Order: sequence, then structure tokens, then C-alpha cells
Amino acid sequence: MRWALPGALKRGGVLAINRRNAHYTQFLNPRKQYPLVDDKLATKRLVMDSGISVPELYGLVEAPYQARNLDQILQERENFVIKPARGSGGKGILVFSGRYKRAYRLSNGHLMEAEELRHHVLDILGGLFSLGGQPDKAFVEEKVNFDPVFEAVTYQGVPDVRIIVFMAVPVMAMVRLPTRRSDGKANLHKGAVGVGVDMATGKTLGGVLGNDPVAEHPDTGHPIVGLQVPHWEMLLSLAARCGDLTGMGYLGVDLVLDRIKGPLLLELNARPGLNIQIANGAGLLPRLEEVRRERCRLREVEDRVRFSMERFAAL
Amino acid sequence: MNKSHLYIALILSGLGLGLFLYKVLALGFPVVKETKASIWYVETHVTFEADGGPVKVVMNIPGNQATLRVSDESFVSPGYGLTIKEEGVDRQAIWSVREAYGEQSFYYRGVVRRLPAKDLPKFEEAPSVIPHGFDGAELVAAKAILKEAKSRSADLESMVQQLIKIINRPKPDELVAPLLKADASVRDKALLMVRILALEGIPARLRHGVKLEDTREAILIERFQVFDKGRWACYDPITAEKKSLPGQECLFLWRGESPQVTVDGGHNVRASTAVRATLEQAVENAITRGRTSNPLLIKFSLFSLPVRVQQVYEVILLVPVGAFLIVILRNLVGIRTSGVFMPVLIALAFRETKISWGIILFVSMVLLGLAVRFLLDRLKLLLVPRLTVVLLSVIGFMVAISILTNHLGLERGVSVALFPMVILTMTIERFCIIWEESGPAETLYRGVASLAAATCAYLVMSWHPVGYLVFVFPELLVVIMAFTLLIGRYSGYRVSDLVRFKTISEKQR
Repeated sequence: MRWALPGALKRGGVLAINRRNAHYTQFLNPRKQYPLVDDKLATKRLVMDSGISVPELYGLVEAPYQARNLDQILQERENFVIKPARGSGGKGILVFSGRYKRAYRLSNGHLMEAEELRHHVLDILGGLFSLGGQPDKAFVEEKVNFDPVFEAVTYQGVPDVRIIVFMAVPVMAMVRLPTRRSDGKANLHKGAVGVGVDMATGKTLGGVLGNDPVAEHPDTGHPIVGLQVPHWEMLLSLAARCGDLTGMGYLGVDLVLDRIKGPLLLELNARPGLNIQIANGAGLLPRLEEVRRERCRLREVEDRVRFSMERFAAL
Repeated sequence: MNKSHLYIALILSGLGLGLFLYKVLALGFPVVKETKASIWYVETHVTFEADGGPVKVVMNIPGNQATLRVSDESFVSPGYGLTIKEEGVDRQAIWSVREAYGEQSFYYRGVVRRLPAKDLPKFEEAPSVIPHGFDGAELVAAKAILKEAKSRSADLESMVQQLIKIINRPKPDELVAPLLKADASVRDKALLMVRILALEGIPARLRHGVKLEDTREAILIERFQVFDKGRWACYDPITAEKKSLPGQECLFLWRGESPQVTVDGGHNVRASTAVRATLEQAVENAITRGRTSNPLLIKFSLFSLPVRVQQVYEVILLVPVGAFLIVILRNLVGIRTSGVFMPVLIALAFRETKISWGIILFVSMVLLGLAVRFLLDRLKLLLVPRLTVVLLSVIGFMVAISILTNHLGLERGVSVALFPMVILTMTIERFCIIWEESGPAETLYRGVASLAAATCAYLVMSWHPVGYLVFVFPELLVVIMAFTLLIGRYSGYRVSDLVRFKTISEKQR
């Protein structure tokens, strides 16, 4: 069968984009909080005040003339990431992992001249990658030295953990693994593999590439099922706290696991994608309803984490 | 859950449908347009700069002719006195004022109806022939032309055609040269032919007119008329082609000796004529009925606007229909078009270029623009200057395509200029970024999706019943608004979701 009937989707509890916008993001995410989430620098500031770790900020480019000082910001660093502050969907992000003479080596092995890099930064400032094309800032931060558990199932780039947080309760999670096709990026629509995670244990379930289920990483061939995400409970409580901090009722929290520093918050997303349901092979709607019913009795972060570990375990 | 959108939608659709039903049931507006128009609005707009002294404006206005009847005339001329002079079928409106300054603007509007052909009088009385007024060498030359035309023809019709051909011979021609200046206008030539035919006692005249078809800026056409067997036969004064009977093809506005408008005491005179094939008898009747039973409704309706403004609104009112279609395609079907209303604007351009040419032109413009954009990529320009350079090259391509297709005689290609260039520029930039970020496959998908959406929008917007309905019943747009509100709160699945999430539903079984 090429497609499902609407009734079958409904039985599966699938949350689709119309409902997400009409019933969740528009009601639960206050407009004035959006800048906190859309601007990665604002997010960094917000969560650092409450003691959540983030990748170290190396430098900031706010105006075109500062792009000339890029060399100063980068100094002799070899591993770093350049991001637009208000980019979405991974647009405009470049990951570097070395140098060759005057050029910088991208994580996919290609070389980029200093001149090209400066032009990319100017594009960021011009708003090429920002929401609505508004002028933007560029920043340089450390490249996360990710936990070896994902080494075998990552093709260039940094894998991350996406957790959907509803009313400050984690409801669904997946690990996003970069592939050759996604060019080192961890965004599913770019071709990264999404792997569902059992909320109870932090063990990976099955994966999805595009809209199709997969059991191995397409480039490395290693199985992606049954991997244990380290610090699982800590990740969940970090995500729950982000829900509190932002006041967003429906939030996507992106975390990375650094080998030494442990879980770091990468960014937040006020309109998180819906493919996470395909990766988990389960719909979001029943979980959201369950949280809505019982939210009033879940006061502390620990309560909420325990709630989601108990209720949202994989079968 | 908040339900206020439901109530608003209900009220809106109630209002819209109520007004629609009132107009259909009580006033008798027809819901479907008759296929052939038999009523036209003809409107002439004259502007000029007054010199400051007394001003007199003489405008030739159409009279009844053959099967066409002129009625419901109105004259808009602020502060001027108006008299109408009639001489047989020729009529003139004369406006005068003691003094006037600055820009002056006049409107003449008339309703032209076509009578059934059976009412056409069989024969007209032969008009009197003007004196030819040739003497000396001119008379000799004129007789020579007449003789040559006669020698090559069998009857009056072929003689007239030969005469037109002789007069229009490329110069220099020893027969015609003594009678006609080298730079003679169509009017000069026609007047000469009238005088030559007067030698034979055949009545002839020149008339100017407009074609009875929808246009905002009517092109004036000239017809050389010769009285033949009780009828005025029409000829093209340049190609000598025989044209259909008067009143079939075009409306004659005035006879040939004078210009359409003459102004004493002013300069910079401009006159343009608009024609609108309207709304057939039934709508006219409904409007008349509405005027008496509900005068406000008609007074504050689109029909009270000048003809050229009405024509603008005919297009503008179609835009929401296209936008509604995009809403359906995006929010119910789930097609990802590039840009929200870009397909509607492209569809508007398709209306002028027609679909196949429209697609060819659009695709070639986007491809050329993308080529420029990729070349620019190497120059590493800043964002806004880069967009401007792409815009400049888009306009450059438009000019080039227009000139090229014009030389190749491809009329439709010339209308590439109707594409909204800013939208094209943004489309090119967006496609380019999609290309870099998501690869050629996604770019192709977006391009095809946008083009398909534009084609759908075009097909709906150019479907005549739709255009007729929104123009005669603009209140239906309020109903569309109501439906848009409903879709705005639709939280069910899109068609694309059914494919995207099918694995989850399979697992549930």
C-alpha cells in the first residue's frame, strides 16, 4: 500500500503539521519567547545562567567589518564550528576539523580558503540563512568532541540527541546521525539517520532514513539498534529544565554528548520536526494527551523525568 | 478549544451567500454568463493642458449605425457647457468654458447594443456625392489613375481595390506623385480616393472606429467605405482587403475628415478609447432593476466605476481565488511550493502569455537567472548587492527575450515583460539556496511543484465562469474568506502526511 488512510494515522496517534501548528505551537509557545529560542546566542546566555553547559563560545561577528578579524577569533584553532545565530534547519553551519596552510579543512575533508570563509560569514550577516532573511550574527564555537559510543555510526559531523519536551515533560527522543548525504549535518531532511530512543532506558530502537526504516548506518554499515545513550537520565532532566527556562510548551531540545564535558545544550527549536515519530515508530498524540492530563501533579523536574521514563517506555 | 473562528466563518459565509442569493433571486442576476456578448461599454477619455483662456473641445462621438445602437450616454466634463451636434449619423459633443487652467479631463461613455441582423434595413438611400474639386494638371492625373484602375477591373468592387492598390504603391509613382505628398497619411490618401471616385459619381468616405472587443486601450482602425448597391462596402484603406459589413466587425466612432478630438485653447491632447464587452442583457436588466429597488447596492458596486477601473478589478478579484487554491494545495494537500504567493503571481502572468508560452518563458528565465546566480557565487558578493545584480540580469533577459521573439514574430514571447521580476529574482535566489543546501532533486521538486501550482491557479483563474462570478458577485470572496478561516484552523492530516507517516500506521496494525 502506497499510503495510509487518515483513520489509520489517527489510530497510530500521528501528530501532523497542521495539528502541531494549530493546537500546540500556536497556543503553548508565546510569541515573545521565540527570540530566546530562535537566537542561539540568546539561548546560550539563558541556559548558562542556570548552570546548563553549552559548547564554549570562541567569538562573535556582529558587523561586516569584524569579519576581517576572523583570523584573530580563530587564532590557531583547528576544530571549531561557525553558525548563524538565527539559522534554522542546520542552514549555514560549517564544521571545521583541521587546517592546511592558509586554508581550513571542513569535516567532510574539503578545504576552504580564508577568503571563502569570510564570504560565508558575510552571507550569514546578510541574513541568507536566518528566519525571514533578517540581518543576523555569526558566531564561532568549539567543535564538540562527541562521545565514542556513536563513533561507529557517524559519518563526519556531530551526532546529537533531539528530545521533544511538552509542557516541560520529555515525551519523545531520537538520536540523529550524520551521513555522507547529509554532509555532516544532523538534520533529518538533509539525509541524516534518525534513531528512536526508548524513553525508559535510553537504548536506541530502530532508525529511519528519509521516510523509510533502516537498521544500519548507510555509510558505515554498523547496526544502529540497541546502542545505549550515555547519561540518559541527565539528558532528560536537562531537557525538562529547558522547558521550564523558556516557558515554551512545545519545544525541541538538541543536546550533544561531549566525551569529557558530558551533555551540552546545542540549541532549542520552537517548531521541531515531526519525523521523530517515524524514527520511533510511534505517534506523539497519545503521549501529549497523557502529559496534559497529569501535568498538574508533576511539580519537580525529577517527577517529570520519572513520569516520562515510566509511561513512555518502548513496548 | 477556541471556536470563535467557526462563528466568524459562519457569519461571513452567511453574509456573502445572502447577498449572492438576494442578487440572484430578487434582482435576477444570471449565475452563468451568456456566451456571446451583445452589449459593450465604449468609453473615451480625453486629457489636455488648458492654456488659461477660453477652451472649446470638439469630440466626435458614435451614432447609430447599421445594426449597432448607441444609448445611455454620459458625459463627464467638470464645469464645461455641453452641446451635441448631429449631422445624419455623425455626431459631435462640443464642450466649452470661459477659462480653464492646468490638466483637464473628459469622459464620454456610451452603451452599444447590437440588434439582430434581421432588423438591418435592406437598402439605404444613396448619399450625395461631394464635388471632386480637381482642375488642370490634377484633373488629368486623377483621370489617369481612374482609367488605370478601371482597365484592371470588372466591377465596382475590384475597381475600388485596384484604386487602393495604386494609391498605396511604393513611391515614387508618376501617376500618384502629382496628387499626393511623399509623406501622405492614411487620411490624406483616403480623401484623395474619395475625390477620384467622385469623378465617376460614386459616393465614398473614410471612417475611424474601434473593434468591439475587451480592451483598455483600443487601437483605432480605418475603413474606406464605398456606396455600392444600396450598402456601404468596407475596405481596408491600405491592403485593399474587403471587410465585413459595417456594424459587424467594429463600431465607427467618426468620419474621416477630422481628428477624433480637437481642442481650441489647450495643448498636449491625449485621447484613448476603452471597450468592455459586458455583461449581457440579463445583467443589465438586473442592474436596472436594482437601481429602483435597492439604489445603494448598485450605486456602491463595481458597476459604478469607470470602465478601465472595472477591467483592473476583473483581474484583482481573481487573485484571492488563486491564493485560496494555494491555501488548499499547501495546507490540505501538502505540496511544498516555493514562496507562498509566487505561484499566483506567475499564474497572473500566464493569463497574458498563455500557458505553454508562459511555462517556456518562466523556465527559461529561471534557468538563465540560476546560471547568473551560480557565476556570481564565485565573485563572493554581499547578499543585497547580489540580489540586485540578479534582478538586473533578470530584466536584461526579459528585454532580450522580448526583442528576440519580436523579431522572430512570436507575439506571445514579447509578453515576458509581464512576469513579476522581483518575484522571479527571489525565486531564483531561493532555488539557488535550495540547490546548495538540499541538492538538485529537492530544487527540481520545488520547481515542478511551484509550476504545477501556478498552472492550477492559472486554469482556475482563467476559467471564464470563475471570472464572471467573482466580478458580478464579489461577495463570493467573503465566502472564500470564510473557508480560508476554516482551513486556517484545520488540524487534520494533509494528503502528504498519509504517505509520510504510513509506516507508523502499519506498525499499529
